Amino acid sequence: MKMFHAGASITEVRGMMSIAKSLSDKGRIRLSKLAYETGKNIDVLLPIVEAAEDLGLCSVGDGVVKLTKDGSRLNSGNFKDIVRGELAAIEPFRSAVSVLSRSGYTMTIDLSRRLARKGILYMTDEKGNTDVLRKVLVHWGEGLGLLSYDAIHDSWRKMK
Amino acid sequence: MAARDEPIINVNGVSFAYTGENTIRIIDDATFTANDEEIVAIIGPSGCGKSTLLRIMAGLVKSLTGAVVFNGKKVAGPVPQFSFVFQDFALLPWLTNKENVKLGLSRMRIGNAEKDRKATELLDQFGLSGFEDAYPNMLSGGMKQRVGIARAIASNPVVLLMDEPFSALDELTANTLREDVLYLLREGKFPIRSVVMVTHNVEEAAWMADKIVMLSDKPSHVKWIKKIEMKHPRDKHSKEFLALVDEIYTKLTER
Repeated sequence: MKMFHAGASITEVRGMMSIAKSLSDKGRIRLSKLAYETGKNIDVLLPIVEAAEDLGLCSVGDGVVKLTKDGSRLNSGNFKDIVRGELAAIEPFRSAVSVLSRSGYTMTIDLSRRLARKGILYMTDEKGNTDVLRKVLVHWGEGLGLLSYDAIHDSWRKMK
Repeated sequence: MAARDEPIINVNGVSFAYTGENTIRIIDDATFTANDEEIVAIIGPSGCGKSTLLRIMAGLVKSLTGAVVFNGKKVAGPVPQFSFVFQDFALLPWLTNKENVKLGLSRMRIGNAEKDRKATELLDQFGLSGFEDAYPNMLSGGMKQRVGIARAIASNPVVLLMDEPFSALDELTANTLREDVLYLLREGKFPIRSVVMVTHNVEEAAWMADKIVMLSDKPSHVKWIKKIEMKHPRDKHSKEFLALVDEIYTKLTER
């Protein structure tokens, strides 16, 4: 099952998109050029590019990154608005939003267990998996205004 | 070293999964060879099991299925003829640099004076003369990895396994160390017949390797094997080199 990559941050995706936009030729840039310009190795660059692809900002194939319409109109002011909807459609955000729409509230551990039963896992051990899930949900879900995190109770609500 | 098509290590249908509260399949039926006088670079997306595969080859981790065969024998545990170079150097901080190198000589049936002499000679070959009695914390990252490589080479291994050996270093230091390692390997002073290296750096793979083994995303399989005929030293600005780098990126993102 396709899951959002845990190895990319919002600032990294925005930074990569900014560089790709400025150096692209008709919305296309070779990945080798992007790697050279960003100075990133594939362990860092590929998760960032894949996250951008999952968010509908680009498509990647045969060594070329192609900016989508959304990717081309991206700027520092509209990032959240452009990608929030796409993010909500990708696991683990999809399940989180679905659970919160029904119950209004969930603990991270309960969500982690529910996702694990569906095969949506970042790590094999429950604690490690829950930690990564929390990090991804806080960084992206709360960062993009999709979810609201209560650190005291380690719980989630939908962002109003 | 000049690659020949005689396998030193056969990786035959190796599979691996992390099993715990949940199971995640990591490697699925990986098959390739590391040949005589060949530097093999294993490359692939983050989390695809490259380092795990290297540890399976080293006999440090057991595969679920399949086998690693060295000199006709199945690898069932650590192999004395193999040495390992770690990303984070793995030096023992309470030992001097010379004592760290001497760890690599611990299985040799030679006296302490001879071990001292060999360790000193190796440190000298790696440009660390004068640092024999210093501790690792007094060295830069590049110098620490030189000690790590000297320790690995000390035991006269037939196979050198390196897990992202230059990734913890800044680019200038990493570049120098890559050149030094290639020089030492190709000079023929050591009995190393095959090198297998995990890397996330496409240029590093293109610059050093005689063969690239690319793994897919997990559960990973061998997606592509590329034999590189380009002679050393390779010109990173040549059309041929740049085309190779581009080809690797193309294969990495091929769906």
